[in-house]
Amino acid sequence: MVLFFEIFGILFSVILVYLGIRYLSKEKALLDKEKKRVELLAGSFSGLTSITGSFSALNHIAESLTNFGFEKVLILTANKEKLALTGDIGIGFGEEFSPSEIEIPLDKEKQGILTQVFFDQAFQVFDEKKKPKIENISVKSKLLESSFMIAPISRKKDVSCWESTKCSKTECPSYEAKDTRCWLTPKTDCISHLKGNYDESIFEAPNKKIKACLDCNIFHCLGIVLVAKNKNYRFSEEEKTLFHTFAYQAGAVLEKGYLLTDLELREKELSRRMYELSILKELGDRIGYSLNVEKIVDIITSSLVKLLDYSVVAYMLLRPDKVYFKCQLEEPLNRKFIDDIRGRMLASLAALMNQEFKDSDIEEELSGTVIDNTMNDPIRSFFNIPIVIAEKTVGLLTIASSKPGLYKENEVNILYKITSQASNAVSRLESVLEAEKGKLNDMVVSMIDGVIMVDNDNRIIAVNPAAKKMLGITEEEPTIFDIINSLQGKLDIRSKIEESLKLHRTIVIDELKIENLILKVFISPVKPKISLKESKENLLGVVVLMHDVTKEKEVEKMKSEFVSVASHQLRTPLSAIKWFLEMLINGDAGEANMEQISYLTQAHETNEHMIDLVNSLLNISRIESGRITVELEKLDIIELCEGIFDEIKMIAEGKKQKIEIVKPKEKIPNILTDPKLFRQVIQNLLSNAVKYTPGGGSVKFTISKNNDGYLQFDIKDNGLGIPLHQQDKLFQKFFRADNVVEMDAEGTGLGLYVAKSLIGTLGGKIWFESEENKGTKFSCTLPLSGSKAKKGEKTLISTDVSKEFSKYHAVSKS
Amino acid sequence: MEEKTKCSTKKVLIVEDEKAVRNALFGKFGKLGFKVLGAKNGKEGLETMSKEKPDIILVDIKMPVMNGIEMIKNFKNNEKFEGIPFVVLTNDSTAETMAEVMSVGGTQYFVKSDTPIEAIVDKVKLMLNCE
Repeated sequence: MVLFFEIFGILFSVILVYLGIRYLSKEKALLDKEKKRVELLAGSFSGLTSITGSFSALNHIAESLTNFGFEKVLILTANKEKLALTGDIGIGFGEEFSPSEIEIPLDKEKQGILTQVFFDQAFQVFDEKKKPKIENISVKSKLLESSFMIAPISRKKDVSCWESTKCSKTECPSYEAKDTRCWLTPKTDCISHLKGNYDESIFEAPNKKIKACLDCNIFHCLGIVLVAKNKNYRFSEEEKTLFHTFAYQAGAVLEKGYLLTDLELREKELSRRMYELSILKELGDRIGYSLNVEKIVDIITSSLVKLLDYSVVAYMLLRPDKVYFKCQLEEPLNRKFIDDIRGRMLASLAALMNQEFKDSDIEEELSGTVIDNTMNDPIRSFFNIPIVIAEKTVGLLTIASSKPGLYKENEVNILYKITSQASNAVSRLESVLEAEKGKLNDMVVSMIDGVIMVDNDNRIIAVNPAAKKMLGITEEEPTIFDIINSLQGKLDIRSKIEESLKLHRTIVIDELKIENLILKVFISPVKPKISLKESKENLLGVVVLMHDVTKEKEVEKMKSEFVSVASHQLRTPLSAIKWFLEMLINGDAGEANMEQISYLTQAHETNEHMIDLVNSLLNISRIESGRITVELEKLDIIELCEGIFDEIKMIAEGKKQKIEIVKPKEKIPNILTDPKLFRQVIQNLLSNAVKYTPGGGSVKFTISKNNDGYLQFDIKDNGLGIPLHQQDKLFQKFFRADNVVEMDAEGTGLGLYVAKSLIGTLGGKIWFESEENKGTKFSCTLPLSGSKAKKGEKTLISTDVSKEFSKYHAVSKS
Repeated sequence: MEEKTKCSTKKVLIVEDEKAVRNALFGKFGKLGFKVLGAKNGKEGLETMSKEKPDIILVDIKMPVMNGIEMIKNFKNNEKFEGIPFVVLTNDSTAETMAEVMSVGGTQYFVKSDTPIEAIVDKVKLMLNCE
């Protein structure tokens, strides 16, 4: 493009030169003495083509004009920023002022006719420091003392205006489009004048005869060129034409300059738009679905550096209890600079929100370059943009620089566009979320389970009607305190919430009795769905779910009562059978023969098994109903274990098994626990090991202190093992592994279930490792710190495998 | 060691509502030569006691008309029966029942289904110091 205009300009100049030469050649014969002038002219114009830059080109024209005998030359161009005609080149004026110091304000009322303005307006002379040196000097008295010619400098494409004698009234579309250059000359009557005469007499009555056709779309005025003689003089036609040609040429030069500037401007504008677009896109990509204003503003501020020149970008965001102030430094600045920004922003924010803010409300965060107090640049450029989301002002964004005059309409506009784009995106997202939230709310409201949502600061976000009904809350919007009151001290919900948030885990309260209801309560931490990097730390709060288990608990209670009663009723006849059989075997009713004894013994064994089963069922119903008593005693656990071991040892030795106990090397202090319950656990595990290990196998019972503050009990055998596919069911009630059932071993499938329940009650754990046909290792733990006592209604029935029976009885296992 | 007396001189009172259980104990102690007395409930037991003073009482807890605890309270308060030992035989192994038995001065407590009959015999013999 640039090249095109360059070539175009050169071409035009060449044509002009050619025209000029042709015109002059007509006169050649007549004006021999003018030959030198023609050469001069040709030289002037051809010289012009090699000159770059408007100023030097105008200077060249001015010098050429003096060479042609004009004593004074003045070129003024319209300066749109100053709204004035400013002197560019002046030759031949006195010492009083330099023409470059001239500034003629352009009166908006009279705008349009530059030459007119030029005549009417007084002008001022400014010194180097831009202070007026001389004010209100009459143009006519100073510049136009003697004979002169004046011509507007026009754009080249408006050449028709120069040629036509009459042009019709034209509108200026560029004015309508508010082209900033157009303020000069809107809606001007376009009457060409340059064909006419430019002698002083004509200018004496400018209103009547001359109306410069200036800045309409066919004639864009860029300035004024003036030549004068130092005495009264009548300009020849030749001189007029010459002047005309030069003025015209000045137009071409200026236009070329303007075009270049224009082009540069447009290019700049284009690249700025590109930046703008790319930043908006980047913003769109990076903001994604975030609703975090701080994050969005961070993204905006981090993108800005590509677009704007600044020393500091800062923002303030309103928080419920404070104002968050974040300041990013791009260059070293002193603390005062930041304090200034802080102060200005706070004042703006206060004005914007119509609210007082104290400096102490601010939480400050600085980033970027370090503070350097040796710097002493003040704020020289500065502007604010409010951050508005969903029509609500949430903060303020500020750009500041130590350089002066940086931010104009354009810069403000860009930033405004970016922030509004971002906030629009957030607003839209919020409205979508609002709609989604609506659906979710409806769902939560309709739920049968009670739901309470609590944020990180213990604020209640939502309570559904079911929850209110369960807790008997009547407040429309209950606070955490209303909830706490409604719980009647039965649940410390605040510490449970804290625990849940801290451990990132759901806390389950199995039974919460409120009035006539029994509730099962789940307190779960709420993690943000979108997995942001920081999501682990940023829990949204907790949701408390309350499930009414009153009915279930009733049924459960009835069930366990039934089991209890039924078991009880069974025990009495079982004991009668037991005793009769014992008497028969014992020969109380006469000596029985071997066969009879064998049958009676089997009947007795079966009966014992039944008693065991009934006892286990009774125990389970007690454990499950939570009515089991935990009575603590300070116990020498090792001694207790040895006791159990010795009992089991007899059975193992009967099976020719190798059985051993390994005790810890260090002294284990006495532990506070329930001996009956603990005994049951170890007994079950040890007797299982012996039971499910074939004769000749081995069982090893190891007691050790582990590092977590627990005493650990490992019972390892090389017996049947547990089939892999059934291992997960092992602790289920009535579960018996296939290989155990197959080998006809007696058992109820309740031992491990009981063991697990009991060790849990005592504060320990149980687990196992097993491989079928290789063996099993059961491990359980007991806290060295002891168990917790519990007042229940029931004690455990001993389901001792090596009951005293064996001590008394003659029944031998045949 | 003190000379043991003959068990055949001792009177055992069995207070038990369940016929089969009562009969088992009746049979066992009878075979061993004890003089055995029977009662179906606490009230009958007290009546028998006042007629024939037993040397030891085996008493069930859960019984109709009058339960074991009531009966024990009754004869414990009666000077006439002072010093008669008793053994509680029950299938109710709840903590409360056990506590109740203890509160009325019971020291011997057997869960029937878990106790071999021989163990009861041994206990009685020990308490009466007889053979």
